[in-house]
Amino acid sequence: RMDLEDDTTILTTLKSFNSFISQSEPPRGAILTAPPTLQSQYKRSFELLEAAEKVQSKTRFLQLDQEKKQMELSHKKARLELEKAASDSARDLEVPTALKQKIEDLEAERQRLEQLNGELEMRLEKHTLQGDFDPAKTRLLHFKMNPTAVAKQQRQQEVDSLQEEVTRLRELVRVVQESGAQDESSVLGLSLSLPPSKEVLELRKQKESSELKNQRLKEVFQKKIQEFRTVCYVLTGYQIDITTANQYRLTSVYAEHMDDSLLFKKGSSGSMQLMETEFSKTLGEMVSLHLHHQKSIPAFLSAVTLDLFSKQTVV
Amino acid sequence: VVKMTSTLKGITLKGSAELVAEFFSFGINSILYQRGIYPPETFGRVTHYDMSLQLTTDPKLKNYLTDVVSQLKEWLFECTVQRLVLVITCLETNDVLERWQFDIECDKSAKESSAPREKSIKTIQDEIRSVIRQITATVTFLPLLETPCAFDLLVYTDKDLVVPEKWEESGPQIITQSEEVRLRSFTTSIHKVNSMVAYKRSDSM
Repeated sequence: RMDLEDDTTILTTLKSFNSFISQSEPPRGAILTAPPTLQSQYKRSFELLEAAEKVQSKTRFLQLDQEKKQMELSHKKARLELEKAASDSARDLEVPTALKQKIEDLEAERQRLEQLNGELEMRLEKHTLQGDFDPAKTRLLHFKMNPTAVAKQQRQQEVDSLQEEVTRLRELVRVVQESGAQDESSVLGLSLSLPPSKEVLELRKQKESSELKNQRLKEVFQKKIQEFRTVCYVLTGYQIDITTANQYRLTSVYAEHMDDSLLFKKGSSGSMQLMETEFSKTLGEMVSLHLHHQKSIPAFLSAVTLDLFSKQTVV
Repeated sequence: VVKMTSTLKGITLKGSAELVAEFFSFGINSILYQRGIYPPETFGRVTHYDMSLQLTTDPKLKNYLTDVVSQLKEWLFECTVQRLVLVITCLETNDVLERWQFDIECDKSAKESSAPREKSIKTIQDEIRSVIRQITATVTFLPLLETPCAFDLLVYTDKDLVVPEKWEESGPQIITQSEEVRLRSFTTSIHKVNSMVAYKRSDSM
Protein backbone atom coordinates (compact mmCIF):
# COMPACT_ATOMS: atom_id res chain seq x y z
CA ARG A 1 0.00 0.00 0.00
CA MET A 2 2.90 2.30 0.80
CA ASP A 3 4.42 1.67 -2.63
CA LEU A 4 1.21 2.49 -4.40
CA GLU A 5 0.86 5.71 -2.40
CA ASP A 6 4.43 6.65 -3.24
CA ASP A 7 3.85 5.92 -6.91
CA THR A 8 0.78 8.12 -6.80
CA THR A 9 2.82 10.93 -5.25
CA ILE A 10 5.46 10.63 -7.97
CA LEU A 11 2.82 10.52 -10.65
CA THR A 12 1.06 13.59 -9.30
CA THR A 13 4.34 15.48 -9.13
CA LEU A 14 5.25 14.44 -12.65
CA LYS A 15 1.81 15.47 -13.93
CA SER A 16 2.02 18.87 -12.35
CA PHE A 17 5.53 19.23 -13.73
CA ASN A 18 4.30 18.29 -17.19
CA SER A 19 1.39 20.65 -17.07
CA PHE A 20 3.74 23.35 -15.93
CA ILE A 21 5.97 22.82 -18.98
CA SER A 22 3.04 22.71 -21.36
CA GLN A 23 1.79 25.96 -19.87
CA SER A 24 5.15 27.58 -20.50
CA GLU A 25 4.70 27.04 -24.21
CA PRO A 26 2.93 30.04 -25.57
CA PRO A 27 -0.18 29.38 -27.43
CA ARG A 28 0.22 29.68 -31.21
CA GLY A 29 -1.61 32.88 -31.52
CA ALA A 30 -0.27 34.44 -28.34
CA ILE A 31 3.49 34.16 -29.02
CA LEU A 32 3.90 37.47 -30.50
CA THR A 33 1.15 39.15 -28.67
CA ALA A 34 2.66 38.73 -25.19
CA PRO A 35 6.45 38.26 -25.14
CA PRO A 36 7.75 36.82 -21.85
CA THR A 37 9.67 39.07 -19.64
CA LEU A 38 13.15 38.09 -18.24
CA GLN A 39 11.88 38.32 -14.75
CA SER A 40 9.07 36.01 -15.40
CA GLN A 41 11.39 33.67 -17.31
CA TYR A 42 13.78 33.58 -14.33
CA LYS A 43 10.96 33.09 -11.97
CA ARG A 44 9.77 30.33 -14.22
CA SER A 45 13.14 28.52 -14.32
CA PHE A 46 13.49 28.86 -10.58
CA GLU A 47 10.13 27.29 -10.13
CA LEU A 48 11.14 24.52 -12.53
CA LEU A 49 14.33 23.87 -10.64
CA GLU A 50 12.46 23.82 -7.43
CA ALA A 51 10.00 21.32 -8.82
CA ALA A 52 12.79 19.20 -10.21
CA GLU A 53 14.51 19.23 -6.87
CA LYS A 54 11.28 18.22 -5.25
CA VAL A 55 10.99 15.25 -7.59
CA GLN A 56 14.62 14.34 -7.00
CA SER A 57 14.31 14.46 -3.28
CA LYS A 58 11.12 12.51 -3.51
CA THR A 59 12.84 9.91 -5.65
CA ARG A 60 15.76 9.75 -3.24
CA PHE A 61 13.36 9.30 -0.37
CA LEU A 62 11.66 6.55 -2.22
CA GLN A 63 14.99 4.94 -2.94
CA LEU A 64 15.99 5.17 0.69
CA ASP A 65 12.67 3.85 1.73
CA GLN A 66 13.07 0.92 -0.60
CA GLU A 67 16.54 0.28 0.67
CA LYS A 68 15.24 0.46 4.18
CA LYS A 69 12.51 -1.96 3.34
CA GLN A 70 14.96 -4.29 1.71
CA MET A 71 17.14 -4.10 4.75
CA GLU A 72 14.19 -4.78 6.92
CA LEU A 73 13.29 -7.69 4.73
CA SER A 74 16.77 -9.10 4.91
CA HIS A 75 16.70 -8.53 8.65
CA LYS A 76 13.48 -10.34 8.81
CA LYS A 77 14.91 -13.13 6.73
CA ALA A 78 18.00 -13.26 8.88
CA ARG A 79 15.88 -13.31 11.98
CA LEU A 80 13.77 -16.08 10.60
CA GLU A 81 16.90 -17.90 9.68
CA LEU A 82 18.23 -17.42 13.17
CA GLU A 83 14.98 -18.42 14.69
CA LYS A 84 14.91 -21.47 12.51
CA ALA A 85 18.46 -22.27 13.43
CA ALA A 86 17.66 -21.62 17.04
CA SER A 87 14.66 -23.85 16.93
CA ASP A 88 16.69 -26.44 15.06
CA SER A 89 19.38 -26.30 17.65
CA ALA A 90 16.72 -26.39 20.32
CA ARG A 91 15.40 -29.53 18.74
CA ASP A 92 18.90 -30.89 18.73
CA LEU A 93 19.07 -30.19 22.41
CA GLU A 94 15.77 -32.02 22.95
CA VAL A 95 17.04 -35.24 21.41
CA PRO A 96 18.72 -36.55 24.57
CA THR A 97 15.51 -35.95 26.53
CA ALA A 98 13.53 -37.93 23.97
CA LEU A 99 16.08 -40.68 24.16
CA LYS A 100 15.85 -40.67 27.89
CA GLN A 101 12.08 -41.08 27.67
CA LYS A 102 12.52 -43.84 25.18
CA ILE A 103 14.98 -45.59 27.47
CA GLU A 104 12.52 -45.31 30.34
CA ASP A 105 9.72 -46.69 28.19
CA LEU A 106 11.85 -49.54 27.05
CA GLU A 107 12.94 -50.24 30.58
CA ALA A 108 9.31 -50.37 31.71
CA GLU A 109 8.48 -52.61 28.78
CA ARG A 110 11.43 -54.84 29.62
CA GLN A 111 10.24 -55.15 33.20
CA ARG A 112 6.74 -55.92 32.07
CA LEU A 113 8.02 -58.60 29.70
CA GLU A 114 10.28 -60.03 32.36
CA GLN A 115 7.33 -60.33 34.71
CA LEU A 116 5.21 -61.84 31.96
CA ASN A 117 7.99 -64.25 31.17
CA GLY A 118 8.17 -65.22 34.81
CA GLU A 119 4.43 -65.80 34.89
CA LEU A 120 4.54 -67.82 31.71
CA GLU A 121 7.42 -69.90 33.02
CA MET A 122 5.45 -70.57 36.18
CA ARG A 123 2.44 -71.56 34.15
CA LEU A 124 4.57 -73.77 31.96
CA GLU A 125 6.05 -75.36 35.06
CA LYS A 126 2.55 -75.91 36.45
CA HIS A 127 1.41 -77.42 33.17
CA THR A 128 4.46 -79.66 33.13
CA LEU A 129 3.77 -80.72 36.70
CA GLN A 130 0.18 -81.46 35.76
CA GLY A 131 1.29 -83.66 32.88
CA ASP A 132 0.81 -81.48 29.84
CA PHE A 133 2.99 -82.10 26.80
CA ASP A 134 3.73 -80.90 23.30
CA PRO A 135 2.01 -83.30 20.89
CA ALA A 136 4.34 -82.14 18.12
CA LYS A 137 7.34 -83.60 19.94
CA THR A 138 5.89 -86.24 22.22
CA ARG A 139 3.78 -89.35 21.95
CA LEU A 140 1.85 -90.63 24.93
CA LEU A 141 1.52 -94.41 25.24
CA HIS A 142 0.18 -96.95 27.70
CA PHE A 143 -0.18 -100.72 27.86
CA LYS A 144 -3.55 -101.76 26.43
CA MET A 145 -4.29 -104.29 29.17
CA ASN A 146 -3.46 -101.98 32.06
CA PRO A 147 -5.02 -102.51 35.51
CA THR A 148 -7.38 -99.54 35.17
CA ALA A 149 -8.66 -100.74 31.80
CA VAL A 150 -9.13 -104.25 33.19
CA ALA A 151 -10.93 -102.99 36.31
CA LYS A 152 -13.18 -100.75 34.24
CA GLN A 153 -13.97 -103.66 31.93
CA GLN A 154 -14.91 -105.85 34.89
CA ARG A 155 -17.13 -103.16 36.33
CA GLN A 156 -18.79 -102.75 32.96
CA GLN A 157 -19.45 -106.46 32.78
CA GLU A 158 -21.01 -106.38 36.23
CA VAL A 159 -23.19 -103.46 35.26
CA ASP A 160 -24.21 -105.24 32.07
CA SER A 161 -25.20 -108.44 33.84
CA LEU A 162 -27.11 -106.49 36.49
CA GLN A 163 -28.92 -104.56 33.83
CA GLU A 164 -29.77 -107.80 32.09
CA GLU A 165 -31.18 -109.16 35.33
CA VAL A 166 -33.18 -105.99 35.91
CA THR A 167 -34.66 -106.29 32.43
CA ARG A 168 -35.52 -109.93 33.04
CA LEU A 169 -37.16 -109.16 36.39
CA ARG A 170 -39.09 -106.22 34.97
CA GLU A 171 -40.42 -108.50 32.27
CA LEU A 172 -41.41 -111.04 34.89
CA VAL A 173 -43.23 -108.41 36.93
CA ARG A 174 -45.04 -107.29 33.81
CA VAL A 175 -46.14 -110.83 33.02
CA VAL A 176 -47.34 -111.34 36.59
CA GLN A 177 -49.31 -108.10 36.52
CA GLU A 178 -50.85 -108.91 33.17
CA SER A 179 -51.92 -112.37 34.29
CA GLY A 180 -54.47 -110.55 36.46
CA ALA A 181 -52.90 -111.30 39.77
CA GLN A 182 -54.40 -108.37 41.60
CA ASP A 183 -54.09 -109.26 45.25
CA GLU A 184 -50.77 -109.37 46.97
CA SER A 185 -50.89 -112.93 48.16
CA SER A 186 -51.13 -114.41 44.72
CA VAL A 187 -48.27 -112.19 43.54
CA LEU A 188 -46.33 -113.35 46.57
CA GLY A 189 -47.19 -116.92 45.77
CA LEU A 190 -45.97 -116.50 42.27
CA SER A 191 -42.79 -114.77 43.34
CA LEU A 192 -42.14 -117.67 45.73
CA SER A 193 -42.47 -120.06 42.87
CA LEU A 194 -39.68 -118.18 41.08
CA PRO A 195 -36.47 -120.11 40.85
CA PRO A 196 -34.47 -119.12 43.94
CA SER A 197 -31.26 -117.21 43.35
CA LYS A 198 -27.91 -118.92 43.41
CA GLU A 199 -27.12 -117.40 46.76
CA VAL A 200 -30.29 -118.70 48.34
CA LEU A 201 -29.61 -122.18 46.99
CA GLU A 202 -26.11 -122.05 48.31
CA LEU A 203 -27.26 -120.94 51.77
CA ARG A 204 -29.95 -123.59 51.87
CA LYS A 205 -27.41 -126.25 51.09
CA GLN A 206 -25.13 -124.92 53.78
CA LYS A 207 -27.95 -124.95 56.29
CA GLU A 208 -28.87 -128.56 55.50
CA SER A 209 -25.34 -129.74 55.84
CA SER A 210 -24.80 -127.97 59.15
CA GLU A 211 -28.08 -129.32 60.51
CA LEU A 212 -27.02 -132.81 59.58
CA LYS A 213 -23.69 -132.27 61.26
CA ASN A 214 -25.41 -130.98 64.35
CA GLN A 215 -27.68 -134.01 64.48
CA ARG A 216 -24.77 -136.36 64.21
CA LEU A 217 -22.88 -134.54 66.94
CA LYS A 218 -25.94 -134.74 69.18
CA GLU A 219 -26.17 -138.47 68.65
CA VAL A 220 -22.50 -138.93 69.38
CA PHE A 221 -22.73 -136.83 72.52
CA GLN A 222 -25.77 -138.74 73.71
CA LYS A 223 -23.98 -141.98 73.25
CA LYS A 224 -20.84 -140.74 74.99
CA ILE A 225 -22.78 -139.28 77.88
CA GLN A 226 -24.60 -142.55 78.35
CA GLU A 227 -21.38 -144.46 78.23
CA PHE A 228 -19.80 -142.14 80.76
CA ARG A 229 -22.69 -142.37 83.19
CA THR A 230 -22.71 -146.13 82.98
CA VAL A 231 -19.00 -146.28 83.61
CA CYS A 232 -19.32 -143.90 86.57
CA TYR A 233 -22.15 -146.02 87.96
CA VAL A 234 -20.27 -149.26 87.56
CA LEU A 235 -16.97 -147.95 88.87
CA THR A 236 -18.10 -145.69 91.75
CA GLY A 237 -21.37 -147.36 92.59
CA TYR A 238 -23.32 -144.15 92.26
CA GLN A 239 -25.73 -143.02 89.65
CA ILE A 240 -25.37 -139.27 89.20
CA ASP A 241 -28.28 -137.19 87.93
CA ILE A 242 -28.54 -133.51 87.45
CA THR A 243 -31.79 -132.37 89.02
CA THR A 244 -31.68 -128.64 88.50
CA ALA A 245 -28.81 -126.35 87.72
CA ASN A 246 -25.84 -127.02 89.99
CA GLN A 247 -27.67 -129.75 91.91
CA TYR A 248 -26.62 -133.37 91.67
CA ARG A 249 -28.42 -136.37 92.95
CA LEU A 250 -26.40 -139.47 93.83
CA THR A 251 -28.11 -142.81 94.15
CA SER A 252 -26.07 -145.76 95.37
CA VAL A 253 -26.17 -149.07 93.58
CA TYR A 254 -26.66 -150.66 97.00
CA ALA A 255 -29.50 -148.36 98.11
CA GLU A 256 -32.16 -150.10 100.14
CA HIS A 257 -34.92 -147.92 98.71
CA MET A 258 -35.31 -146.41 95.26
CA ASP A 259 -35.46 -142.86 96.63
CA ASP A 260 -32.60 -143.16 99.08
CA SER A 261 -30.45 -140.55 97.53
CA LEU A 262 -27.92 -137.86 98.42
CA LEU A 263 -28.26 -134.32 97.10
CA PHE A 264 -25.21 -132.12 96.50
CA LYS A 265 -25.23 -128.50 95.58
CA LYS A 266 -22.33 -126.74 93.90
CA GLY A 267 -21.49 -123.35 95.37
CA SER A 268 -20.29 -120.38 93.37
CA SER A 269 -16.68 -121.15 94.32
CA GLY A 270 -17.04 -124.69 93.00
CA SER A 271 -17.24 -126.36 96.43
CA MET A 272 -19.87 -129.10 96.97
CA GLN A 273 -22.32 -129.06 99.84
CA LEU A 274 -24.50 -131.89 100.99
CA MET A 275 -28.17 -130.99 101.12
CA GLU A 276 -30.52 -132.51 103.61
CA THR A 277 -32.66 -135.43 102.35
CA GLU A 278 -34.59 -138.11 104.19
CA PHE A 279 -31.73 -140.47 103.52
CA SER A 280 -29.00 -138.05 104.62
CA LYS A 281 -30.71 -137.60 107.95
CA THR A 282 -29.96 -141.25 108.70
CA LEU A 283 -26.25 -140.73 108.14
CA GLY A 284 -25.51 -138.26 110.95
CA GLU A 285 -22.40 -140.03 112.19
CA MET A 286 -20.77 -140.36 108.79
CA VAL A 287 -21.62 -136.76 107.89
CA SER A 288 -20.05 -135.55 111.06
CA LEU A 289 -16.90 -137.66 110.67
CA HIS A 290 -16.15 -137.46 106.95
CA LEU A 291 -17.64 -134.18 105.93
CA HIS A 292 -17.34 -131.98 108.98
CA HIS A 293 -14.21 -133.43 110.42
CA GLN A 294 -12.24 -134.92 107.54
CA LYS A 295 -13.77 -132.64 104.90
CA SER A 296 -13.73 -135.43 102.31
CA ILE A 297 -16.73 -136.11 100.11
CA PRO A 298 -15.10 -139.19 98.49
CA ALA A 299 -14.45 -140.68 101.97
CA PHE A 300 -18.05 -139.94 102.93
CA LEU A 301 -19.41 -141.52 99.75
CA SER A 302 -17.17 -144.56 100.19
CA ALA A 303 -18.28 -144.95 103.78
CA VAL A 304 -21.93 -144.81 102.66
CA THR A 305 -21.21 -147.38 99.96
CA LEU A 306 -19.49 -149.72 102.41
CA ASP A 307 -22.28 -149.26 104.93
CA LEU A 308 -25.02 -150.04 102.39
CA PHE A 309 -23.01 -152.90 100.93
CA SER A 310 -22.46 -154.48 104.33
CA LYS A 311 -26.19 -154.19 105.07
CA GLN A 312 -27.00 -155.91 101.80
CA THR A 313 -24.58 -158.76 102.23
CA VAL A 314 -25.79 -159.31 105.75
CA VAL A 315 -29.25 -159.88 104.35
CA VAL B 1 22.58 -107.73 36.16
CA VAL B 2 23.55 -104.13 36.83
CA LYS B 3 26.96 -105.14 38.13
CA MET B 4 27.77 -107.06 34.98
CA THR B 5 27.17 -104.17 32.61
CA SER B 6 28.75 -101.40 34.58
CA THR B 7 32.31 -101.27 35.71
CA LEU B 8 33.67 -100.01 38.97
CA LYS B 9 34.95 -96.97 37.12
CA GLY B 10 31.54 -95.68 36.18
CA ILE B 11 28.32 -96.29 34.37
CA THR B 12 27.42 -97.11 30.76
CA LEU B 13 24.21 -96.34 28.89
CA LYS B 14 23.06 -99.92 29.33
CA GLY B 15 23.83 -99.92 33.04
CA SER B 16 22.07 -96.61 33.43
CA ALA B 17 18.93 -97.89 31.65
CA GLU B 18 18.91 -100.93 33.94
CA LEU B 19 19.34 -98.86 37.09
CA VAL B 20 16.55 -96.47 36.13
CA ALA B 21 14.19 -99.31 35.13
CA GLU B 22 14.91 -101.00 38.44
CA PHE B 23 14.13 -97.76 40.26
CA PHE B 24 10.77 -97.62 38.48
CA SER B 25 9.99 -101.20 39.43
CA PHE B 26 10.66 -100.58 43.12
CA GLY B 27 9.15 -97.09 43.04
CA ILE B 28 5.88 -98.26 41.47
CA ASN B 29 5.60 -101.16 43.92
CA SER B 30 6.19 -98.76 46.81
CA ILE B 31 3.49 -96.38 45.63
CA LEU B 32 0.96 -99.19 45.08
CA TYR B 33 1.68 -100.51 48.56
CA GLN B 34 1.72 -97.13 50.29
CA ARG B 35 -1.45 -95.91 48.61
CA GLY B 36 -3.32 -99.15 49.25
CA ILE B 37 -4.18 -99.77 45.60
CA TYR B 38 -3.66 -103.49 46.31
CA PRO B 39 -4.18 -105.21 49.69
CA PRO B 40 -1.05 -105.23 51.87
CA GLU B 41 -1.15 -109.02 52.20
CA THR B 42 -0.41 -109.30 48.46
CA PHE B 43 3.05 -107.79 49.02
CA GLY B 44 6.25 -109.34 50.24
CA ARG B 45 9.18 -107.68 51.96
CA VAL B 46 12.56 -107.50 50.22
CA THR B 47 15.77 -105.62 50.93
CA HIS B 48 17.22 -103.38 48.24
CA TYR B 49 19.16 -100.10 48.22
CA ASP B 50 19.98 -101.03 51.83
CA MET B 51 16.36 -100.54 52.78
CA SER B 52 13.26 -102.62 53.29
CA LEU B 53 10.86 -102.53 50.34
CA GLN B 54 7.52 -104.11 49.42
CA LEU B 55 7.12 -106.08 46.19
CA THR B 56 3.85 -107.42 44.86
CA THR B 57 3.20 -111.15 44.84
CA ASP B 58 0.00 -110.81 42.77
CA PRO B 59 0.79 -112.78 39.58
CA LYS B 60 -1.29 -110.59 37.26
CA LEU B 61 0.20 -107.38 38.59
CA LYS B 62 3.69 -108.89 38.46
CA ASN B 63 3.24 -109.78 34.78
CA TYR B 64 1.95 -106.35 33.90
CA LEU B 65 4.82 -104.59 35.69
CA THR B 66 7.38 -106.87 34.06
CA ASP B 67 5.91 -106.13 30.62
CA VAL B 68 5.95 -102.37 31.13
CA VAL B 69 9.31 -102.10 32.86
CA SER B 70 11.14 -104.27 30.32
CA GLN B 71 9.75 -102.14 27.49
CA LEU B 72 10.70 -99.04 29.43
CA LYS B 73 14.24 -100.33 29.82
CA GLU B 74 14.50 -100.64 26.04
CA TRP B 75 13.29 -97.07 25.58
CA LEU B 76 15.70 -95.85 28.25
CA PHE B 77 18.52 -97.54 26.37
CA GLU B 78 17.39 -95.87 23.13
CA CYS B 79 16.99 -92.54 24.95
CA THR B 80 13.47 -92.15 23.51
CA VAL B 81 11.49 -91.94 26.75
CA GLN B 82 10.66 -88.55 28.24
CA ARG B 83 8.36 -89.30 31.13
CA LEU B 84 6.65 -92.07 33.10
CA VAL B 85 3.41 -91.40 34.95
CA LEU B 86 1.55 -93.57 37.44
CA VAL B 87 -2.10 -92.52 37.31
CA ILE B 88 -4.52 -93.46 40.10
CA THR B 89 -8.17 -93.39 39.06
CA CYS B 90 -11.29 -93.72 41.19
CA LEU B 91 -13.34 -96.55 39.71
CA GLU B 92 -16.67 -95.18 40.91
CA THR B 93 -16.39 -91.72 39.37
CA ASN B 94 -13.58 -92.28 36.84
CA ASP B 95 -11.87 -89.20 38.34
CA VAL B 96 -8.09 -89.12 38.30
CA LEU B 97 -7.06 -88.66 41.94
CA GLU B 98 -3.26 -88.89 41.79
CA ARG B 99 -0.50 -88.62 39.22
CA TRP B 100 3.02 -89.67 40.10
CA GLN B 101 5.17 -88.16 37.40
CA PHE B 102 8.78 -89.01 36.65
CA ASP B 103 10.37 -86.74 34.05
CA ILE B 104 13.34 -88.36 32.37
CA GLU B 105 16.12 -86.34 30.78
CA CYS B 106 18.27 -88.55 28.55
CA ASP B 107 21.75 -87.46 27.58
CA LYS B 108 21.58 -88.65 23.97
CA SER B 109 25.30 -88.14 23.49
CA ALA B 110 25.75 -91.34 25.52
CA LYS B 111 24.49 -93.22 22.45
CA GLU B 112 27.53 -92.11 20.45
CA SER B 113 30.28 -92.59 22.98
CA SER B 114 30.38 -95.88 24.86
CA ALA B 115 32.88 -94.62 27.42
CA PRO B 116 31.47 -95.10 30.93
CA ARG B 117 30.58 -92.00 32.91
CA GLU B 118 32.34 -91.34 36.15
CA LYS B 119 29.63 -91.88 38.70
CA SER B 120 29.60 -94.85 41.03
CA ILE B 121 26.59 -97.11 41.33
CA LYS B 122 26.77 -96.65 45.07
CA THR B 123 26.29 -92.88 44.71
CA ILE B 124 23.41 -93.35 42.29
CA GLN B 125 21.71 -95.88 44.53
CA ASP B 126 22.06 -93.53 47.49
CA GLU B 127 20.24 -90.86 45.49
CA ILE B 128 17.54 -93.36 44.46
CA ARG B 129 17.07 -94.37 48.09
CA SER B 130 16.35 -90.74 49.05
CA VAL B 131 13.71 -90.53 46.32
CA ILE B 132 11.98 -93.72 47.48
CA ARG B 133 12.14 -92.52 51.09
CA GLN B 134 10.43 -89.33 50.02
CA ILE B 135 7.74 -91.27 48.15
CA THR B 136 7.05 -93.20 51.36
CA ALA B 137 6.91 -89.97 53.34
CA THR B 138 4.29 -88.38 51.06
CA VAL B 139 1.61 -90.59 52.61
CA THR B 140 1.54 -88.08 55.45
CA PHE B 141 0.13 -85.28 53.33
CA LEU B 142 -1.71 -87.04 50.49
CA PRO B 143 -5.49 -87.30 50.89
CA LEU B 144 -6.76 -90.73 51.88
CA LEU B 145 -8.02 -92.84 48.95
CA GLU B 146 -11.40 -93.88 50.27
CA THR B 147 -12.94 -95.37 47.15
CA PRO B 148 -11.82 -98.40 45.14
CA CYS B 149 -9.05 -97.24 42.80
CA ALA B 150 -7.02 -98.67 39.95
CA PHE B 151 -3.77 -97.50 38.39
CA ASP B 152 -2.29 -97.12 34.94
CA LEU B 153 1.22 -96.35 33.70
CA LEU B 154 1.62 -93.73 30.98
CA VAL B 155 4.86 -93.36 29.04
CA TYR B 156 5.70 -90.15 27.18
CA THR B 157 8.09 -90.97 24.33
CA ASP B 158 9.68 -89.28 21.35
CA LYS B 159 7.27 -88.67 18.50
CA ASP B 160 9.08 -90.79 15.90
CA LEU B 161 8.92 -93.97 17.99
CA VAL B 162 7.14 -97.05 16.65
CA VAL B 163 4.23 -98.05 18.91
CA PRO B 164 4.77 -101.65 20.14
CA GLU B 165 2.04 -104.20 19.56
CA LYS B 166 0.59 -104.35 23.08
CA TRP B 167 0.66 -100.58 23.47
CA GLU B 168 -1.63 -97.80 22.34
CA GLU B 169 -1.87 -94.03 22.50
CA SER B 170 -3.48 -92.50 25.57
CA GLY B 171 -4.58 -89.11 26.89
CA PRO B 172 -2.50 -87.43 29.60
CA GLN B 173 -5.26 -88.08 32.20
CA ILE B 174 -4.78 -84.74 33.91
CA ILE B 175 -6.35 -84.01 37.29
CA THR B 176 -8.84 -81.19 37.44
CA GLN B 177 -7.99 -78.87 40.33
CA SER B 178 -4.75 -80.37 41.52
CA GLU B 179 -2.00 -79.59 43.98
CA GLU B 180 1.51 -80.41 42.85
CA VAL B 181 4.56 -81.26 44.90
CA ARG B 182 8.04 -81.68 43.49
CA LEU B 183 10.05 -84.49 45.00
CA ARG B 184 13.78 -85.18 44.90
CA SER B 185 15.56 -86.10 41.69
CA PHE B 186 18.45 -88.38 40.92
CA THR B 187 20.81 -88.79 38.01
CA THR B 188 22.97 -91.56 36.67
CA SER B 189 24.79 -88.84 34.69
CA ILE B 190 23.09 -90.30 31.57
CA HIS B 191 19.48 -90.37 32.72
CA LYS B 192 18.15 -87.72 35.08
CA VAL B 193 14.84 -88.47 36.78
CA ASN B 194 12.77 -85.66 38.30
CA SER B 195 9.96 -86.92 40.50
CA MET B 196 6.74 -85.15 41.41
CA VAL B 197 3.23 -85.92 42.53
CA ALA B 198 -0.01 -84.13 41.68
CA TYR B 199 -3.18 -84.91 43.59
CA LYS B 200 -6.76 -83.79 43.48
CA ARG B 201 -7.46 -81.11 46.06
CA SER B 202 -9.52 -82.72 48.78
CA ASP B 203 -12.01 -79.83 48.81
CA SER B 204 -12.78 -80.58 45.15
CA MET B 205 -13.60 -84.24 45.70
